[in-house]
Amino acid sequence: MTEFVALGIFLALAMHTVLGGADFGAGCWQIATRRGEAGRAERELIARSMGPVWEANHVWLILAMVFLWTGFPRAFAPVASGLWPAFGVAGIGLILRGAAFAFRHASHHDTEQRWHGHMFAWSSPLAPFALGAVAGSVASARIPVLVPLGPVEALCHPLPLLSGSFALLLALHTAAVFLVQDAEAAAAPELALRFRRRGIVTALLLGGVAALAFPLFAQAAPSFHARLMERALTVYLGASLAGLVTIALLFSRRAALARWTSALMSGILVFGWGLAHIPDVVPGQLTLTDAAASAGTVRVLAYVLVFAFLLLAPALWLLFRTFRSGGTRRGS
Amino acid sequence: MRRATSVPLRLASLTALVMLAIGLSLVFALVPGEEGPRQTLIIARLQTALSMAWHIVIACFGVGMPPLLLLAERSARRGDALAAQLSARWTHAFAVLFAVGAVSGTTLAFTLGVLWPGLFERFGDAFGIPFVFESLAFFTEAIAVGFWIYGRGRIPPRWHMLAGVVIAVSGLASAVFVVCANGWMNTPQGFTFSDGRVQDVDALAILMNPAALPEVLHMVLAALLVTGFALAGAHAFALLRHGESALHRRGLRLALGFSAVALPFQLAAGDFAARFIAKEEPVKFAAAEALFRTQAHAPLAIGGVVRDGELKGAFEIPGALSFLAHGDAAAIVDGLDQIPSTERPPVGAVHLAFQGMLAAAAFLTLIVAAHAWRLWRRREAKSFALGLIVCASPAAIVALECGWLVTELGRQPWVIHGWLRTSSAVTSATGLLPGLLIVLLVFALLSAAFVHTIHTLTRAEVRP
Repeated sequence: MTEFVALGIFLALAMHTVLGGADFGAGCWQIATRRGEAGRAERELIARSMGPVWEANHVWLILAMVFLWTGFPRAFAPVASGLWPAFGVAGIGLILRGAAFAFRHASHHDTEQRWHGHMFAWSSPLAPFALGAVAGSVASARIPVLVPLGPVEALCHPLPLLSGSFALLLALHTAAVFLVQDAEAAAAPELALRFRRRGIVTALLLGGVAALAFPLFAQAAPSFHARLMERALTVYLGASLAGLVTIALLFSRRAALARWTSALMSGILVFGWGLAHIPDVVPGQLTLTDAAASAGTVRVLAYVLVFAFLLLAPALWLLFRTFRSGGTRRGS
Repeated sequence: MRRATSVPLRLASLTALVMLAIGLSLVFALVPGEEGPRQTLIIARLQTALSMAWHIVIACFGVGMPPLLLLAERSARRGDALAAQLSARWTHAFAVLFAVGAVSGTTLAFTLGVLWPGLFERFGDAFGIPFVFESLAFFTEAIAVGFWIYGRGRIPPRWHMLAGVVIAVSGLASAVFVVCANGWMNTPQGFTFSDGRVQDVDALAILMNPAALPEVLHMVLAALLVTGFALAGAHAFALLRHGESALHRRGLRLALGFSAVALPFQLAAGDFAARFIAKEEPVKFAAAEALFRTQAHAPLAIGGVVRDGELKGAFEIPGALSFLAHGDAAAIVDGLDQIPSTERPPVGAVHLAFQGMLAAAAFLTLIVAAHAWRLWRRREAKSFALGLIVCASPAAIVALECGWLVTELGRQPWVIHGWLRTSSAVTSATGLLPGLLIVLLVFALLSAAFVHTIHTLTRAEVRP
């Protein structure tokens, strides 16, 4: 039951990586758009692909957080309070994006819109990077409350920094692939080409960073690395395969399919990461059983999880279908 | 175009500056200069209070707007063009507020986790239960909001209305669950405690804790009132600024009528809540009334300031407190002398907040009474009345915040009454001051965004 809830949390995190990642990544790509008229079409494409529902994607993160603190309170407490700078940065990133979004929808003034655009774009990379760094710190057992480390020391180590960059790259990649199809639907071949190229380059970079990460893991997070090699390796081979297929599909201009393979890749990556954690929450420091809530609570969580995935996931899918089929036709 | 946008921007900047000023003066007044556990505790409390105080306002719209949207949409479907315009306008504002609320809610979860590890480490199994259900309700609401916004004209009208009903029900449910969690902090039950942690959690008993019912009723009605008065204020503001407009008149009447219906229920719910705390949370009750001495014929104190352990300058109605609490003017009411001074909440602040809530409630009652009188005499609100209605917008928020402060400060020094002290739940991290200042800045900005969004409602009517 405990493992079931743990995997459920990672499933929610995988959903957030794909759906939330696409939103954050799209915001990041806005940094790279050209100023003034030249970049207008691109900015509008990005804005259009994220309607007001995009914040609905935060529900996955909220779900994961709430399940973590209820189901594994003794893991949540040291991780959240120990790595507070990372959570602080992520929170500020989220809030600035939210504020920029609200301003943009409330104003029709060009200069104002430009400022909100800047705020939106530059706050987008904060959350994926910070949350990715948290994942790295936990995997390498660098949690200040459990081991004698300062919060900043714990995070400023090659491994958390690498995992943070990996998460950011993943968001950029997911967004680029999603935007290719949006650009095609909006009849903007030039933009489609640009995002196709970006999707391919980020996929290659992801492979590079992953290759770099393995020796680093062996050295800085030995027990996590051992389990990763033992059970998650096939999973990661699957992810690499999905990544290669995505690249091929992008080359052959089948963006709609590439969306699915790229989402599959992100999902596998996050889920495999979770697989390598079991039976620990913090490798070598804290097991799932030690961190878990009492049996009654875990049972409630399991029921709620089943309910959420059986009932709400299809509803969400239906929403996306309704939204996508007409979303790009709306114009600005 | 240029002139039209400069007013909301000025208003928004003003809001940001006011918020920043309030926040900074709180920091200067309360946070001790030297680093250490004491400073950490105060900063953690301030930062949590700030995040909650902000989120509670925006969360109200998630509960209060759906019924209003449904009302407008129902008229719209019967061919009422004004109601259709109103519904579209409200939907736009609701979408933005909902998105911002999702963000501030996520950040609030971060804040709680980062600053209060003791709360989760020892009580997370129990404290988390209401939030698990809340996240489910919020999930449902988020999906339904998507259908509501994008479904217009794309899914059958019947389904669109259904989405609206789902929003209303799930919005209400998430408010109920969150307030259940707060009720549980005041009257904890449904668990045993051994080995330094919660065991044998009974989910139903946690949700159905004694304080849940009075708190839920009071809070849900508060959410309806905050929304109703905010919208009424926005439309009144528009009428003052752009002159007569059928659209804004209609919006004003609908929103103010909504508040007028909810207000009498809220007064009753408030009375119910006060009787409840008099019985079950006597310390909080005594602090709200600044009643230091246990006494029969206890007086009701109106106004006054707490100084040197006693209430000064208050207007007192003899026996009224005994009557309000126990229905008998001679009844004995427990004072703060029942417990040692180290166990007492900050009496001055709790009393001040309670008085603030009552004052704001009195003002809102006046506005509603005037509205009822005008309806009876078939008159429309003129500029003076409109001005007062604009003031009712922030007054409702003041009442909300003050009431919330009474509940939260009145529970101190406990975070979970009788089980966990606030000072034992806090993080051991130090050097949190820069973080607090950044959070302050961010919330000031967010408040500006909030005002900016409400202001979009006041744009002049577009006539075809």
